[in-house]
Amino acid sequence: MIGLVALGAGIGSVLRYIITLVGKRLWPKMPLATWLINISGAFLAGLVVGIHSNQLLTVFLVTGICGGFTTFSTFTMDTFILIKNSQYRVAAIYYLGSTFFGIGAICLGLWFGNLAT
Amino acid sequence: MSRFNWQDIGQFVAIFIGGAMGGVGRYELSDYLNEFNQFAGTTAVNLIGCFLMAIMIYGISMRFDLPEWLMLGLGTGVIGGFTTFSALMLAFITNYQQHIIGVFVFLTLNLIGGFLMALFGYLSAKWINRGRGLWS
Repeated sequence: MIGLVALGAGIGSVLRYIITLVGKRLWPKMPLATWLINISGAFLAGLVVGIHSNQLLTVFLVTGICGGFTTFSTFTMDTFILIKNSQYRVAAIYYLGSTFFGIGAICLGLWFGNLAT
Repeated sequence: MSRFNWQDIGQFVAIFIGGAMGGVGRYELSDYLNEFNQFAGTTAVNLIGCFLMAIMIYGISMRFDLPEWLMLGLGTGVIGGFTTFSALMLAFITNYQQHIIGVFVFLTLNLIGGFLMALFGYLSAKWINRGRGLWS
């Protein structure tokens, strides 16, 4: 179990870093990469849980890959830095928007997952 | 990637190992805390992670001249892999029907608590680095 979590979280973290690097080039001023990472990771987690696959695969994909791929600390620091730079409106849209879209992505993932089974 | 070299590979390895460590830490702590309350594990990793990330960005990276791979391994890897957004969303939705008030308290605690922990980490880092002329 722990090995699966370690492998998944390692892969997830490297994928997150690669997308962040690309995101910094495409959108240098906005934390859109983290937004994209968290929303797509939430969708994938919902999808896997919705499919009701076996426990080992769920631990690897949801706790490992999705858990390591998505991040709450960078998300919060992005918001903190936006507020520190007096970009209050962008910070509020980012913080609450990620949460709303994240919940929507989970629901969509669960729904697709349930359809597939 | 246009310029791929050994230094880049070292950074990827550091993030992989750090992320694996952070993920296992999250799994173990959640496993332990979720016996008491199903929201406690994710809340704890996220609040601790926000504090540590602020310390990392404003304290450690400014006070010590750490190599790039170590900064990435600790920040993006360990702390980034330790905290999670997907588990927060998943726990909110899967418990929505049984604990309607509980899930909103949980979400609010993570969002506001996480921000306050980041602020606390920032102020702690500022205090640690006081008198060093790093602060404008």
